Amino acid sequence: MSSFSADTPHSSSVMGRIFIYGILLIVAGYFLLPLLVMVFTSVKSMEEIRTGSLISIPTSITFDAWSKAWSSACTGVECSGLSGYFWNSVWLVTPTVSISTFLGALNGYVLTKWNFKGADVFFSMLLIGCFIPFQVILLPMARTLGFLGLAGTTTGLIMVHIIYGLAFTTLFFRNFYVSIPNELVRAAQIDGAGFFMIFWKIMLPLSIPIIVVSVIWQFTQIWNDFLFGVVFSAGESQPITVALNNLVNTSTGVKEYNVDMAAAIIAALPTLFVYVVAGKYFVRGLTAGAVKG
Amino acid sequence: MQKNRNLIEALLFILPALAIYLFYFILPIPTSFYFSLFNWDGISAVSNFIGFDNWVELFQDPIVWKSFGNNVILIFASILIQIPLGLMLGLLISSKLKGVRLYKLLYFLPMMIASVAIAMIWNLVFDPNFGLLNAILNSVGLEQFAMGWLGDPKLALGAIIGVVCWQFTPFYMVIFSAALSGIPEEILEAAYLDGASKIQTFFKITLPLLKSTVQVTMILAITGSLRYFDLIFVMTGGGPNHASELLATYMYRQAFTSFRMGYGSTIAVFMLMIAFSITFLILRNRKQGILYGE
Repeated sequence: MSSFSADTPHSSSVMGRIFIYGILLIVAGYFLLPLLVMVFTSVKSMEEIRTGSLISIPTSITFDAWSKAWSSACTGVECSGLSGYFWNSVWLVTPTVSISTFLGALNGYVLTKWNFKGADVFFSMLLIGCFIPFQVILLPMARTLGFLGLAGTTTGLIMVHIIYGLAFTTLFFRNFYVSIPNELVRAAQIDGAGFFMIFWKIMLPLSIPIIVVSVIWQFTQIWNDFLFGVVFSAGESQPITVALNNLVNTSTGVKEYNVDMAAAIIAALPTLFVYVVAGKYFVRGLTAGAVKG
Repeated sequence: MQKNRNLIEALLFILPALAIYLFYFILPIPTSFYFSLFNWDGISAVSNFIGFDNWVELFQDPIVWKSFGNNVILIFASILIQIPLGLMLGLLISSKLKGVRLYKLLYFLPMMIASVAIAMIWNLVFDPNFGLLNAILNSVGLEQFAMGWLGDPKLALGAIIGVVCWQFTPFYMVIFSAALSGIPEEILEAAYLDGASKIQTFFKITLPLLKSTVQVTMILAITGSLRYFDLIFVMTGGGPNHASELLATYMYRQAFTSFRMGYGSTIAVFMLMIAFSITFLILRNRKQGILYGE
């Protein structure tokens, strides 16, 4: 495994261990204190926030800020909390993640196992899609959506996310399928299996690790997206990140830090949940296919 | 025959995807360039042709160069802080130390959180009056260093870079820990038997084996830094006085706040040109690794 650890008996020194744990501790502080502040602040009353310090442990825990963030905080002129936008994001993420993952698998399959003329050119162009600054597609896309009558709708935003997620999902699956022996496909062909049969019965069952990577990647990318959301959606159809930004920028009277932090947690919970449930498989899947070197 | 029939089937399936892709990915590039030749407010028709005026303005716009400089600073900060730190943490969480699994789980958290939420958390950390950072500085007797972090043009970009590192280092950590698990233990064991120290083993064996991973993370860091947008947009909006302005935030405000869509397109195409040249330079000598899976 690692070459830089004190894990083997012949090399462990007390100083080395103290040093390593010291670094781990400092880094843990850097990564965790802000998160701790977020959680603590969200369960304090405004009275306690005003009088105490940010890192102090809450003396009494209240979820008032949470319920306000969920159902009655103002996001612009509308004052009905984040709940509606939360479900917008759920309806946005569900089709985009599944469709872009499925199409990515299909593309990867065709690109590796049905090598056609120009496959490499196609793949190189896909790679561009991973690195392109999205700013360049914003205005042409906005116009296209306008022509299609999809400007400011969830359907339009779904379309945008599927198209621009395709580059990454295809990359994941292509690199995973490259290491699956072609003989497997050839043998199935000899047995008379067709294009889709081979895909369903042979490729997909082997793809679980990379499907997990693709789903987690797409889920976090799309759930957390702000740029496409703020440009391509409007009013009622906005995703949660855009609503969250509106919530912070709507200042009516005193700034309610506890409501802001509760809102941030609500927006972050789904991706954290996905990670806690499937994070292990994400790292494992990355090892299996996406990161080669 | 069977093979041909299947190939046709395969092509039939990928062609629509290819067409959609070309239509929405490749086409916008010339379209954006076309827009850059117009003075266009986004509402009326694209008709006010002004030739290369937008481009002349771009090259003379001090804010464009200020933003570009900030993008470059962000790139260097990513390469010099995030990647080494990510590699170090990757090594640590790949080791068999006790409690490492917990750290692995915790360090991973920031990369799962939306930039907008991260911006809110860190605005609270940097708050001049009762923010976490100033509270810590005061409590350890460093009052003179307690500042209005995001309000000071000299500090805003640096403060934000601290947040960007917080957000993305975990990502590099995960990539490196995945790559490290692909290095056979026997190699490291053999080095140890030959009397190599840990430091030597790292620099002579582990690091060369990670070369392609390092290259990939560099491409990701550079292209990511070039198009970086949401965190800064929410935290400072590019301020104060463009101190933390990036090309992406400037483009957004030109196009969607000032409704100068033509000029916004010009900035966007400029960003694309930079991204292409850098990616090309790195990829020219290398067609392997993560990108090609070979």
